[in-house]
Amino acid sequence: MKIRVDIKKTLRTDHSEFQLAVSFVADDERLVIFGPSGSGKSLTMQCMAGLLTPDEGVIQVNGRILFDAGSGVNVRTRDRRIGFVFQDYALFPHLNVECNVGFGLRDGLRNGLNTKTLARVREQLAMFEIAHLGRSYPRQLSGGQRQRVALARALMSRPDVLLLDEPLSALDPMLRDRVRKELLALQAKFSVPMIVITHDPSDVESLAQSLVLFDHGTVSAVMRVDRWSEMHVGVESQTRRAMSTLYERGSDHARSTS
Amino acid sequence: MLAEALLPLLLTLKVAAWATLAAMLVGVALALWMARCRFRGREILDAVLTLPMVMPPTVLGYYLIVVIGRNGWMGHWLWESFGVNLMFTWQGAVFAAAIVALPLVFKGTRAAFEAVDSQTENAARTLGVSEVGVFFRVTLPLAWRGILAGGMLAFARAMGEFGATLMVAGNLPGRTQTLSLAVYDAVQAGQDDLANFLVVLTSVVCVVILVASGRLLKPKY
Repeated sequence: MKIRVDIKKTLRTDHSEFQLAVSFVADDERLVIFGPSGSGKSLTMQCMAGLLTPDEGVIQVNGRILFDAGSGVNVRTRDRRIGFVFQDYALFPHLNVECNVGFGLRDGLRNGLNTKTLARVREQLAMFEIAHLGRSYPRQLSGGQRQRVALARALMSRPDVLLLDEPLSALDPMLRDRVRKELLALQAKFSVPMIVITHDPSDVESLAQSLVLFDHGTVSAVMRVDRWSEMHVGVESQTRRAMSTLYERGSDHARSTS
Repeated sequence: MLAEALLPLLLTLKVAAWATLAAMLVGVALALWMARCRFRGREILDAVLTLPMVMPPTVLGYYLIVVIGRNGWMGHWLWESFGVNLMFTWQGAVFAAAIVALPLVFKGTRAAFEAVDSQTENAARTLGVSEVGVFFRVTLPLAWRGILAGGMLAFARAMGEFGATLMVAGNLPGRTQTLSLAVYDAVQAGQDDLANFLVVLTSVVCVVILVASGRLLKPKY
């Protein structure tokens, strides 16, 4: 996966203004975006999916231009072929698991699946080991099951890249380690590039090939994780150090503005 | 007594049904527009549309006379171009009831649309579904209960409409005399039996509607 993001966006509310100005290039299969909350990670991801339009800049995935303010290109969200797993999973509460997973297989005005799409959906559910939940509704599922449904749904239409916004934060800490391993296995199975947002250093350690550090709406560093091991420095200590500096700066910032 | 009650009841149901239909068409469209678009004066428009709910019925009736009366701008136009007169007809009662019921549809529908989590709509977009598809497959299924509940409240309100209807459509037995007007007449004329019957009838219908709309508003998901 080759990905290039170079965007600027100013968000105004009544009382404050937030400047997002991020720029990074990555060509790994697993990219982790790491930074304290409020540093613009989710906003960047929304810009990549086309849910938010940057004021200026370029977004490119595998050479395909998704957004270019200069030439006026702005591919619609539905045509971007980007899978998105939302932080709270955003499952459709009125549809059962089968219809949730198969949602993108048909356009039109009605929900529901025909025999052919249903077969494909069942196959997908089996792959995610949630075949027995096909007729259940999201409210009846546990957090881990919801996440599997969200992943199965996002991967159903074979996207070019999968974006995950804090995929583990809504899960039981006991579950997280298992889910990290599952995400890795999934990525290999579907050979789909992943971009993961997190503020948990353990996620960086187990998921990242490349790491983009966010800080107050800008990218403070882009690193290849394998270089760290060459340097015989623990990845974890590196990220923890990076994180603590970020948080220190964050609290300094908070103090200076308050 | 049954025969005396039947005519106002049928007329009331007819007026309330047409008024609800009109209020639903206009109210849902307005609510959708206001839930989706940000523009200047949005909250002022919201207040104006809510006005019929809080204004004294006589004041509202007066406004309606100014609009649809023979010399009102709309009434004059209707009379000149189509030879239609709304004053003292059941259609006039529909007009009055629709205006009174509009805020209930509008408020309920706007709340229902705004309660739909925009993230689920975004999820549908990332899955490659068109905007029309998002509306009919996500937004509407999640909002229709609220819309329907608003419609039922509007129906109940239209059934009970008294003041504005009296001013616009009068109180002509058999032509514009709805249930609430018939109750007034019966009490004035000392026909207690008829009044009692009409009151119980109206109350039962209203209780049924309120229970049903309350059930609709209970979250299902």
